Amino acid sequence: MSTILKVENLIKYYKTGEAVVKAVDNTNLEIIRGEFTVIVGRSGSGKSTLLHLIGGLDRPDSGRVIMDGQDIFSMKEDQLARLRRNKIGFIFQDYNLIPSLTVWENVVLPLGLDKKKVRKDKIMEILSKIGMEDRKDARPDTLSGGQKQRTAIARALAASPAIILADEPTGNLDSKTELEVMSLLKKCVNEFGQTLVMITHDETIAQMADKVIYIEDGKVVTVS
Amino acid sequence: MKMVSHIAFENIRYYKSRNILIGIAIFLTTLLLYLVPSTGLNLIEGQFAVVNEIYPTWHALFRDVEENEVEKLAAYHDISTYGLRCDAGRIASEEADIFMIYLDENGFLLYKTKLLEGELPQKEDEIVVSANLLKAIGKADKSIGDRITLSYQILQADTLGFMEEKEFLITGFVEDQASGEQSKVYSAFVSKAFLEQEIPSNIRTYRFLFQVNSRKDALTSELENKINSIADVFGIPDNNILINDDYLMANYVDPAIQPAIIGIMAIVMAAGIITIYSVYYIGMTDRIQEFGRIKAIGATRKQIRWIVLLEGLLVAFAAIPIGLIAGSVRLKGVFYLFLHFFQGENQSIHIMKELFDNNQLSLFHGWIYAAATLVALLTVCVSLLRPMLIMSRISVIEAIRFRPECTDRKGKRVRKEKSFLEITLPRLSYIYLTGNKKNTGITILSMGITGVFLMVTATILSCANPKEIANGEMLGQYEVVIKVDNRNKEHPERKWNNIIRNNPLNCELKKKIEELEGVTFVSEFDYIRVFSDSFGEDSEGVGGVPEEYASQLEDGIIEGTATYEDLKSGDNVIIDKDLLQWYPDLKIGDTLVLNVDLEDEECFREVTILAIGDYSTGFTNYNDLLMAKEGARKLCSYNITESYHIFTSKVYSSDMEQALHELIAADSDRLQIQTWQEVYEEWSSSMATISGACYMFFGILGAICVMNIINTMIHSVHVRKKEIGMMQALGMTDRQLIGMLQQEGFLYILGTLILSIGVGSALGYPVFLWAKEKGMFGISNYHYPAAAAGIISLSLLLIQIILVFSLSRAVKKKTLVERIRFSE
Amino acid sequence: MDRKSNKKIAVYIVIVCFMIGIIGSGITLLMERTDAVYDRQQTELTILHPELEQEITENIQYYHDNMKRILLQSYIAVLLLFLSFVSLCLLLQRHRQKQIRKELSMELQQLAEQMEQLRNKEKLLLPLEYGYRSSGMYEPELNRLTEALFELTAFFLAQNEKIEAEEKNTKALITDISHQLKTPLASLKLSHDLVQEDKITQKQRCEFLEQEEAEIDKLEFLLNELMKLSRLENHMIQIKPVKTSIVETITEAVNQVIMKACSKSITIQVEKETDYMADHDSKWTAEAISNLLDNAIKYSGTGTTIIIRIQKLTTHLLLEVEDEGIGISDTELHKIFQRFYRGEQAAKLVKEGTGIGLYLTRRILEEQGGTITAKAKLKSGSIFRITLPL
Repeated sequence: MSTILKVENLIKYYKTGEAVVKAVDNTNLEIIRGEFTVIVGRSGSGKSTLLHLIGGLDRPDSGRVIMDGQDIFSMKEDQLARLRRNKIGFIFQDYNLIPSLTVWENVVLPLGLDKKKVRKDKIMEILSKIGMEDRKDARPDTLSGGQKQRTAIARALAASPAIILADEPTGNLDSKTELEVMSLLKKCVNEFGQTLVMITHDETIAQMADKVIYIEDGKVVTVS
Repeated sequence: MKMVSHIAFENIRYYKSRNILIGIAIFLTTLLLYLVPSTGLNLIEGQFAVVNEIYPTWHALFRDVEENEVEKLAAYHDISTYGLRCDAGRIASEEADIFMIYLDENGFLLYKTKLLEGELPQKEDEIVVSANLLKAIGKADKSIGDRITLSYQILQADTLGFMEEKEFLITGFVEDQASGEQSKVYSAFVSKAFLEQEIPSNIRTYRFLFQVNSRKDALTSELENKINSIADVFGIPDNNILINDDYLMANYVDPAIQPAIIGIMAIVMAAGIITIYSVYYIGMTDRIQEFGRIKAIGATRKQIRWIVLLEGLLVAFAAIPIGLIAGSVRLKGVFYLFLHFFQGENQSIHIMKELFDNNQLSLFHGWIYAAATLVALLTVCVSLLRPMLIMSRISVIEAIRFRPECTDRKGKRVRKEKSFLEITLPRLSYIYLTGNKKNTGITILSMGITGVFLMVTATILSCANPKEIANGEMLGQYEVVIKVDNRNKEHPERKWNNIIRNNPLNCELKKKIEELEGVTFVSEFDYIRVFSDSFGEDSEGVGGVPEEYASQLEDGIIEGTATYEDLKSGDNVIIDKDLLQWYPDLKIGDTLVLNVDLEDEECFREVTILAIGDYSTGFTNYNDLLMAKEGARKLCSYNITESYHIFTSKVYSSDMEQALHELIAADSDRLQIQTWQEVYEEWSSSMATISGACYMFFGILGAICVMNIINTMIHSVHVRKKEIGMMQALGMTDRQLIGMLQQEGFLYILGTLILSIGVGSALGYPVFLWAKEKGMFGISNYHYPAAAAGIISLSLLLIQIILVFSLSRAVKKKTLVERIRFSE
Repeated sequence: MDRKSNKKIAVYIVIVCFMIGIIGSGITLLMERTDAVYDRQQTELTILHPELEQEITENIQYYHDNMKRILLQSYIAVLLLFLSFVSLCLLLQRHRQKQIRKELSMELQQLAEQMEQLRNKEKLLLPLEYGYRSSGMYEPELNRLTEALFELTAFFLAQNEKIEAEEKNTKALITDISHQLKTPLASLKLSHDLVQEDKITQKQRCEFLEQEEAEIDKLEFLLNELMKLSRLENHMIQIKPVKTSIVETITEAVNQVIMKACSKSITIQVEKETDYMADHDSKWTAEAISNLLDNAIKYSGTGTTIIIRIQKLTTHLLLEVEDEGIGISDTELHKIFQRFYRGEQAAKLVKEGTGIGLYLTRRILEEQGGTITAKAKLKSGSIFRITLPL
C-alpha cells in the first residue's frame, strides 16, 4: 500500500511569554492513499497545528512533510501555494467561505486561482451530490451551518485534490447535521478515491475512520 | 465623562491608521482653510496700505467753498474727516511755477504731505518750503530759522493780483515730489494768518477735502453716489466737485473677492467633510459591534455620541495646530507667489512687499487663526454628525449579532444575477467592489469630484495660452497708440476732438516708422468718438479697419452678413458682440444715429447695423462699432488715426523699441508704445503663477481626497484578512494576491479617472465657452488639458501601486495560520 | 496553429495600421495647413507688394512643389515602416512557432515515455510538475491529454493498490476465519471424542450429542456469517442500491428478529412520519439492521423497548436504533465496528458471539454509501445511527 503523505520528526514550538508550547513534538506518521484517517486529541493537543503543517499553511521548526515524494517545505512560498491548490483540499471548522462570492463561485474559486477550466458538469455533479445544486447562486450568509460546510466540502473536492484535510469540520454543527456532513464527506471521498485526513475530538466520528491516530501534547500516542 | 474620554482615547490608539488618515485630512483642510483667507485678506489689506502710502487719501474735494459753509459741511454726518486748502498765490519765479498754498493740519494728512523737519506755519510771516523750491529761486543755502524775501502775487477770484514782496521765516521743510521736479511745479505752504491777512473773508474760498464714512470694502460707485448726494444737499455745482478717482479706483476691491474666498473655503470644507465622513463611514461597520458592546454594558446614547465626537475632536486637536503652524510657515511663500501674479509694471506690489518685509503690515491675523480653527472643527463635527447618529441608534441585539459582511445587503440583494461560471482574479475584484457598492461609490465619488474640479480648472488654464492672449490683445509686433483721455482736465491736449485736429499719428510719422530697418508693414486703424441716444450718456468708438484686414473683419461675423465693400459707405457698421452686453436691445437692421464728438460742430450720421461679430480686443481696440477705413473717414474729415500696428521681421528687438521711442519722443505724453513681447511675457508669467497657485490648491485638495482611497484600501484589506488568508490557503500565491489588490485599486482609480477626466473634460468645454464669453484671460481657443489629465492619471496610479505594495507587505507580516484563525 | 498569438498579432497589426492612419492623416492635415498658410501669405504679400507678384507666386509654387515631394516621401516612409513592421511581426511569429513546436515535441516524447512506464508497470512516475505550471503556451488539447494521462496514471495506481490491498485483505481474512473456526471446531472435536468414549453413560452420551449438535449449529451459523463476510469482502455478492421504501426494509429486518424479541418480551417500536425512498439494497440492508436489532435484543434486559426512528436529512436518511441494554464504553466505541472485535462486557454477558455482526453491518452500509456510528446513552443503552443516501 502506498503512502501519500509522510511526516518525519516534525517539530513546531510556540513561545507564549515565558512558556514554550510544544504544539507538535517530534511527530512521525504516515497517511495511506485512499484511507480515511482521523486524528483525535483534546483541544490544545496540537492537532490543528499538525494539520496546518501537513497542509503547508505553516512552516515547522524542523522535520519534513513528504507528499507524493516531495518535501513540501523545501518549496518556495508560491510553489507551496500552487501545491496547495492542486493537491490539497481544505475544510475548516468555521467554513471560511468567501462572503462576497456565491456558492458556485466559492466552489470554483480554487480552479480559478489555478486558471483551470471549469468543467461545469463535474462541478454540478459535486453540487448535486452534496444537495446544493438548487442553492448554487446563494450567498454564504443566507446558508445554514450545514449548507455552508457542504459548500466547503464541494470546494475542497472541486479541484479533485489527492488529499483532503479537514479541521474539525463538524465542530460547529448539531449532531444530525454532523452525521450528514460526515456521510457526505465519506461518500464523496470514497467515490473520488481521495485520501481524507480529519482532526476531531469526537470519538463517534472516529468510528467511521479506517485509522485513528491519538495525539496528546503534540505527540502521537496510539495508532489503531 | 472620564470614562467616555478614556474610551475615546483608547479608540484612537486602536484605530491608529484610520485616525492618522483623518488627522492628515484635517491637517490639510486646516492648512487650506488658513492659507486661502489669509492670502485674500493680506492682499486686500496690503492693497489698502499701499494705496494709503501712495495717493492722497481724500475721497473728493469741493471747490469754492465759503468759510461759513465749511462748518456746515464739517458737521455733516457722512463726512468722516475733512481738511481745507486754499491756493493763496504764486511766487514769482522765472524757471518754475511756485504756488503758495494754505493747508490745515488735516489737509496735510489728507494730501500725505509730510514735514521733513520743523513746524507748520502759524504766524503770517511763516512759511514752509521744500529744498528744490529754494533751489529754484536760487536760495538753496537757507534753512530753518532763516528769513527769505519773496515776491508774490495773490490769487483773488481766479485772477492774480499785483506783485508784492514780503519777508518770510522758514519754519519747516517738506519733501519734494518727484513729479514736481520734472514739471518745475513747487508748493510753499503758508499760514492761515497770512491767508486772512491777504484775502478778505468775503471772497475767500476754500477747497474742502474730505473722506466720507464708508466700509473698507465699499465699492467706488457707492462712494461716488455718497459724494454726489452730499454735494446735492449743499447745493454744490457739479463742476466744483472733484473726485479723487486715483484713490478711489486704487481702493477698489473687487466685489467678487469675498464670495470667492468664502466659496473656496466652502469647497475645502466640503472636501474635508466628504473625506472625513467617508473615512469614518467605511470603517463604521466593524465599529457598530464595538459600540453595541459598550451600549450593552450600559452606555447611554449621549455617552456614545460623545465618544464618537470626542475621538474625532481629539484627532482634530492634534491636527489643527499642526495645520496652522505649517500654514504660518508657508504663508509668506504662498502670499509672495500670489503677489507675483499681479506683478508687471505694477509699482504698488513692490511697495506692498516692502511694507510686509518691514513688518509695517502683519501677514498673520489672530482672527484668521481663530476662524480656521473654528471652521476646521466645524468640518470635523459636521462630518461626524451622521456617524454619531448611527452609532447612538444601534440596538444592542443588532450590534452584537452584527456581521460586517451583511450590512450592505440586508433586505436587498446586491447581485441577483447568476454566479460567474468561472472565477478569475479580475472577477474576484469586481465581485468584491460591487458587493461593497456604497464604499466603492463613496470613495470614487469623493475622489472624482476633486478630479472634476481639477480638470475644469485645468481646462481653463490650458486654454489661457499666453501666446494666444497676446495675439488677441495685439496685432503686429509693436503698437503705437494715442492716449485718449477725455476727462482729464489737466491734459486737454489728450481730448479726442483736440487730438484729431493735431494728430501726432500722421503720414510723416508713418513714413519714418516704415523706413526703420526690419519693419515690414504698418497697419493703420482709425477711431471716431461718437455719441448716440442708443448709448445714453456714454460715448462709443467707431473703428476704421484698414483694407488688409478686410477678410478678418468678414470672418469674424457671427450673425448677419456684411462685406468690406458694404462698410465703405459709412452708412453701415458691424458691431462687436461685447457691445450687446451693455446694450442688449441692439439687433441687426437697427439704425443708430451717431453724433461725432466734435464739440463745436454738429455732425450726425445714421448708420445701419449689418452684422454682429466677435473680434479680439487687439483688433477692435475697444471700438465696438466697426467700419471700413474709407467709411470711417466719411464720418469725420480730420485725421482720425488711432493706432499703428507695426509688423516686423523679428518678433522683438530692443533696438527697434528704442528706435520707436525716439520717433515718438516729441509726443510722448500723447502716444504710447506697446510691444507684443511685453504683453506675451506679462501673460506668461502671470499665467504660470496662476496655474501654479491653482494646481497647488487642487494638489492639497487632492491630497485630502487621496486619504479616501488609502483608507478604503486599508479597510478592505483589514476586514478581509481572514478571507485573504483563506484564499491563500486554497492556493492563492502572493503574486495573485498583489494582483487582486492591484486590480481592486485599479478599479477605484479607473472609476475616479472616468469620473474626473470624463466628466471633467465634458464640463470643461462648456466652462471654456463660458470663460470665452466672459472674456476671461482672453481665452479664444479650446485646448484640451492633456498634461493635467496625464498627471492626474499617473499620480493616482502611482499612489495606488505604492499603496498595494505596502498593504500586501502588511498582510504578509502575519502568518497564514494566524490570518485564517483571525476573527474580530 | 497558435491561435492566441495569431490573434495577438492581428491586434498589433490593426493597432499599427490605426496609428499609421493617424500619422498619415496627420501629415496630410499638416500639409494642408501649410498650404493654406502659404496661400494666405501669398495673398497678403501680393496685396502689400503688388509689384512683386510674379516673384512671390514663383516662390510659393516652389514651396508647394517641395511640400508635395516631402509629402510623397513621408508617405513612402510610413508605408515602408508599416511593411517592415508587418514582416517583423510575421518573422517573430514564425520563430515563436518553431520554438513552440520544439517544446511540443519534447512534451509529447515525455508523454510517450510515461505511457511506456505505465505499460511496463515499472515504478510509476507521476508527472509531478504537472499542475505547477500555469501553462498558457500550449494548446488546450495538449493540456487535456496531459490531464487525461495524469488521471489514467492515478487510476492505474489506485487499481493496483486496490488489488494489492485486496490480496492482503484476503490473507488476513483467511487467517482470521481459520482462527475463528478453531474454537468451535475444537469443542466439537472434544464432544465427538467424548461420545466415542466407552465409559460414558447413555444419558451422558445424549448430553454430549446435544452439545455436539449445538456446536454444529453454532459452527454452521459462524460459517454462514463468514461466508457472507468473505463474499462481501471479495465482492462476490453484489450490493445493488435501488430506490426502495425504507419502511419495507425495516419491517423485514424486524420480522427476522421479532421471535427473539418476543421471547424476551422486548418491544420494538418504529417512529416515523412518512415513508421515504432511499437508495439501498433492501435485502442486505435488512440484514444489517436485523444484525443491529439482534445485538440490541441480546444485550438488553427483559421488558425493555427498542426504538427505531426514521428521519430525513437533506441528502441522507437517518435511522436511529436505540436500546436500553448494557451500552458501550467510550474506550471501545471506535473498536466495535472492527472485524472480530467483541466488547469486554458483551463477551462476559453473552457467550455466543462472533464479532462479525457489527463489522458486517458497517460493511454493508458503507458499501452503499452510508455510515454507522454508535453512541452510549447517558443512563443505559446505546444508540446506533445509520445514514443512507437518499
